[in-house]
Amino acid sequence: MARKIASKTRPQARKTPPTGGISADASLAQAQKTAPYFKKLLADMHAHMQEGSTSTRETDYQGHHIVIETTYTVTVDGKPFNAGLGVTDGGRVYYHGMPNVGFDSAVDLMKAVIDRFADDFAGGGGQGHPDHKGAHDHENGGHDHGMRTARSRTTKNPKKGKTRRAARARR
Amino acid sequence: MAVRRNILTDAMSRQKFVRAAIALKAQFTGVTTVSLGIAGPSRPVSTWDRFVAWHSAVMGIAHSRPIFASWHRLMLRTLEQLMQQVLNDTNFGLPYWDWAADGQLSNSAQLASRLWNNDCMGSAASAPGAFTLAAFPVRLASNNAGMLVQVNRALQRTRGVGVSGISNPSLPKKASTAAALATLPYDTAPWNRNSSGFRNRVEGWNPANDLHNLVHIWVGGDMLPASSPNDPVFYLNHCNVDRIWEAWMARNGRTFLPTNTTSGAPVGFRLNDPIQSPFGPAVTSAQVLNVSGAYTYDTLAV
Repeated sequence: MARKIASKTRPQARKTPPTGGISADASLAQAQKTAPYFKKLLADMHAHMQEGSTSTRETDYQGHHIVIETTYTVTVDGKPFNAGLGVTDGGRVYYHGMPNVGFDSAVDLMKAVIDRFADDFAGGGGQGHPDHKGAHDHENGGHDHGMRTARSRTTKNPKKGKTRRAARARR
Repeated sequence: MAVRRNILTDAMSRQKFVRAAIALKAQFTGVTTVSLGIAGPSRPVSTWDRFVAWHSAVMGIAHSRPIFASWHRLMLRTLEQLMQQVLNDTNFGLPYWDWAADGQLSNSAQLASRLWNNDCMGSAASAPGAFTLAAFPVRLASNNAGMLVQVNRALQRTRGVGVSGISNPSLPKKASTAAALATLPYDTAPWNRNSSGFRNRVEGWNPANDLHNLVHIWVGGDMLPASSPNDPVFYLNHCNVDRIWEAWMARNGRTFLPTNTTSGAPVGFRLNDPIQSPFGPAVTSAQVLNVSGAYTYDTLAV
């Protein structure tokens, strides 16, 4: 009886191979053992990508506590871009679709997304909002208009920010 | 026992790696897209492509988190053993790409590295060499929303072009690998992209777009999304990251943070938390800190 209990409490010890604990079995039977777990992970990952996200940065400075919440609302050719963007404490913008890149701005990030996934954006549009006469590339213009149209906001009300941006663009 | 060697200087490792990659790309064991939960018609998934699906599924777990190094060690050792099986060679060791050595060269010389010869990774944008569309089609890839979808196309690279805002980057430099070796401790709160410590440095978030991350950016194309294990270069990059981690541990001790008693440490990312594998039993980070019984590197000079 005692032996039975001991074997139940140490199943991993018997399975563990000698080489760093890692073994490799590409068989269908092994795949089926773990399929539900990885299917759920993949589904969770897809759901997470669709959710969007808010990044929160906090710091203390001269006795004051600063909290900055940043939410990105992005459209491409008028269609929502349904993948959450985040921002690091250092201000780098990232998203899980390109998990190894920290962009200077959300504008750069979206340009890279369109470059990498060109087929996903086939058909284009690219004329911007009809009222948005300033929908042009500012990379060589020496000012930061492009950054302001998509960069991090510190409001909890994305619609309010969007209205402000549109008004600024009209001006 | 496997010895992992420099792919640029060891012809045997280079030839075997290419041969084994193509063999695993063509190995089907009955796993299908449906059984993996991938949308679209049911199609067989090769062993190579199962690694693509695995990596995509754990994107939020295996990156920007403390188990970045240990998770990828598990992944690489798993692939190495499967390559040993198809090669019928238990001494085969995954080769590494010492990219910081190439990073010491001019940008044009980096592009001319022997790595990109057609007997190795191939130099064209669609990477023919051994990895032609016929022998090595990309079948699963992330779309812009990060979803894994079915495709049928050639492998893509943009070597040295970079991405918007990071144009024409150089590969990482030796000064960066040296700085990583001197960075202590292994990881720190908040255990993510904002952490100081070795893990976040070697991953390439602190400073941003350096070391591991910069290699993904430099190769570009299929190396950018979560489906980056499509490209065999992925494994050469991560084998070098693993070598740097091994060098760090040889210098600073086989330590890992957070432990299971570290206050506020996220569950699933601690020293003794299990890391799941679709190819075998789960292991913990503690179990893979010392793999000297499984493989070694020809040199830890990074």
